[in-house]
Amino acid sequence: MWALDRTIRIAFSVGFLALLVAIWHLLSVTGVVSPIYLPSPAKAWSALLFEMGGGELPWLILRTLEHMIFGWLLASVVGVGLGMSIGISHRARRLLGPTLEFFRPLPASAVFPVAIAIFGLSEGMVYVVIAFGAVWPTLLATVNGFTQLTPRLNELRALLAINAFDFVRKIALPSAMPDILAGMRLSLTVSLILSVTGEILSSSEGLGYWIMLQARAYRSDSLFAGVLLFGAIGYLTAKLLGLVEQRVLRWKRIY
Amino acid sequence: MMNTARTGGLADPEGNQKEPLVSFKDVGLSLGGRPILEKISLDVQPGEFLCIVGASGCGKTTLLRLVAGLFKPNSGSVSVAGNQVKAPSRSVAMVFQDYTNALLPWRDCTGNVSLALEGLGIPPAERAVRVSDLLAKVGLAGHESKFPGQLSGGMQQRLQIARCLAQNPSILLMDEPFGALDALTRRSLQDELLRLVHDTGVTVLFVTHDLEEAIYLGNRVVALKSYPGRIAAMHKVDLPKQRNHIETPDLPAFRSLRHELYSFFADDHR
Amino acid sequence: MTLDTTEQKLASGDRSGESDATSLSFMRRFNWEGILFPFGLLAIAEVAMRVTGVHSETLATPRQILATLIHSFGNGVIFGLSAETLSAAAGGLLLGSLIGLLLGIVFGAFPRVFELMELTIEVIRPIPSISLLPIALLVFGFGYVMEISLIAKSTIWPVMIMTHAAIAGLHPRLREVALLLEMGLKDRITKLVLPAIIPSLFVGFRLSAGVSLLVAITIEIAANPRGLGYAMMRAEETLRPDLLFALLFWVGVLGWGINGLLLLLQKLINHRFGGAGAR
Repeated sequence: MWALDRTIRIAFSVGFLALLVAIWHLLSVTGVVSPIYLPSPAKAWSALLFEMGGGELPWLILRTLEHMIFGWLLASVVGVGLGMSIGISHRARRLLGPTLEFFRPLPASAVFPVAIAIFGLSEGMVYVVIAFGAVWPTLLATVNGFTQLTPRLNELRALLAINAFDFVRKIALPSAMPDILAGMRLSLTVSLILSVTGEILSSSEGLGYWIMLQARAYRSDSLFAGVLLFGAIGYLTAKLLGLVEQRVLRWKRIY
Repeated sequence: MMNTARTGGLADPEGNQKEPLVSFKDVGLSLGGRPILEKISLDVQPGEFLCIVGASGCGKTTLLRLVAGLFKPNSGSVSVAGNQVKAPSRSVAMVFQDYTNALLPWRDCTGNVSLALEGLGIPPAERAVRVSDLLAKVGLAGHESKFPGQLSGGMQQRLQIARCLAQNPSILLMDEPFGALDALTRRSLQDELLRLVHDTGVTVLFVTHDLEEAIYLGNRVVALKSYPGRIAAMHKVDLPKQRNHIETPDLPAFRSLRHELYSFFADDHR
Repeated sequence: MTLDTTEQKLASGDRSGESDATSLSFMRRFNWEGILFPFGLLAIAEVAMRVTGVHSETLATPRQILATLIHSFGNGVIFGLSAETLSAAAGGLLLGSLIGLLLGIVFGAFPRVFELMELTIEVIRPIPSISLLPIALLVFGFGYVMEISLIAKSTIWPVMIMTHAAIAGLHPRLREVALLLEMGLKDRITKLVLPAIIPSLFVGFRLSAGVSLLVAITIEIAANPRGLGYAMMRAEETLRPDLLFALLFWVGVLGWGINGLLLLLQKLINHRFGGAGAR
């Protein structure tokens, strides 16, 4: 097995992707796959540029990002806060454990109809669903992280006679960080899914609804442009969070 | 033959000059640009117990792998029974130091040993008999249904040896097999190994960094110097066939050889 | 690119690593408070709603919900709906797992191929399948196939990642043993590779199963007129909160039940294929 130089490796990877794009182009241009379903990459790209320049699309992207990020932030704060309180208290864990375990595998989007019933088809509804759905991975991860505190750390607390607040801040929280951040990563994914779904359902301003409109109008090139944008959003937000995670978890050697 | 002079003209126990079973002819090997072994010329007679010693990283494991066919030399040639080694073969078995990684955790002892006997057209009844015989031979009788995870380190290593013996090899390569075991287990396994080798007559190439172990077990000790690995000394072990841990280490031949080897390696500051 | 063990465990509630209390008698150890707690809450809600005389189009009392739930079992409606949702989820899961398995094997066995395709995977993976809904609608229209295709897209990744990690993580020692025993390719695969990777494969499958249910419900809520998701939307539209909550509860039970079953299977598999000294 030859060890590839890193730049060569990246070059090959990029090259492969370019090859796929080229095949895509061929399939579309020669009509093997109807251009209604598969616009050529060139068309999708020019549609993207056109729409971005047109003024509306950047605004919509922003709205989607708002939905996604605000919902996620809210969910994170609630999740970590609640998670800490529950995780630290043995009694709370016992009491709430089974209930939490029931909510863990609940498909987050199943909450939409209920939210619509209560809040109507509004943007507020979307925020509620995003927050509710995205809370669970973070909440459960935080509880898990605090539960896993090794007995050694607790002994340390007793020995050093630290008060509860300091213990949480200096020992418990950093120790639970890997779990918490992993949960937040999952929450981000959930948040994106719920944003798109929510926008489609409520016809709220956002990329999700915009994509549906393009589909209805059979504007497949804009449709594809929108899908690629979603990919980009998913990719970039995940990468950003990953960078934050790396920074915060500098001390952890991940093998 | 020059080789004979190099190896000290070793004859087998009956005093006859035989065809060497393993033969290194001026072997050199580099990995990743770094020379690991250089100018290795060595003959191993059938039935011999050859111990290879040296500091870590001197290439002794690499030597074994050349015989196993897992590596190919850059220069020179390695042959077994007169044929150049081109690929791994069942007649050469290798016992690894990390026994847990070489055993299958999802098969019990019987299953692990029978791995070496499967696909050879041996009827299942006969296979079962051979497996239980081998397990008894290595002292694992009664543990046939246990899984490696349930065995101690020493027992796992015995299991690995049993599997290797199931191949009916002509050569047994052992790569620091007792290095991961505690001193007591090591000593009892050494004695068991001597007994097994005596019973089966297999030729052994045994790598270790434990000089005393090498003297205790072998009839010949080859010392390798490092960077790059090359044969620096060869010593015949002048000890009686029957060995035990109480008397043998006190014998003058043992002590003098130990003294020689220790001072030899003390010169190496690495 | 790997899902670390934390993420796996979190995503599926695998608590096998956690220790529990000291040896108390079963009665004291069994978590009575935890199990009864949600029922207690429901009882309180029931009482509160009756007392305040809440009569709304958006909420229903727990008793009403329970009644509707039982009724739906009685007339078989819930089975039909569950079958629709679960069949789509299962179809997508199978398809996605198969693709993920193949990709994972190829990537694990041929790291050069993985290096080549890594960027492509990184680009495709984060595209949420729900955003592909419009395209799927265009191509397949409403119905079963559309739902399966989107589910498949999502379920590829957990299986692929776990398979890849499992194969790439095979200890080189096994390969050497296979060489020394002159084992043929077929033997190598069936006797060495498969048993070694099955536990990890199953974890990937379990994670994908959860994803499949999530995506199925999402699609049914957003567009596809079949299954539990659609039924929930209809219940909302026709102002039947009792039915809506009953269905929601049932979806929760399904999700929880499937995950629980798979966790049990996982334990069995780990026991059979991991042995006491597994990685």
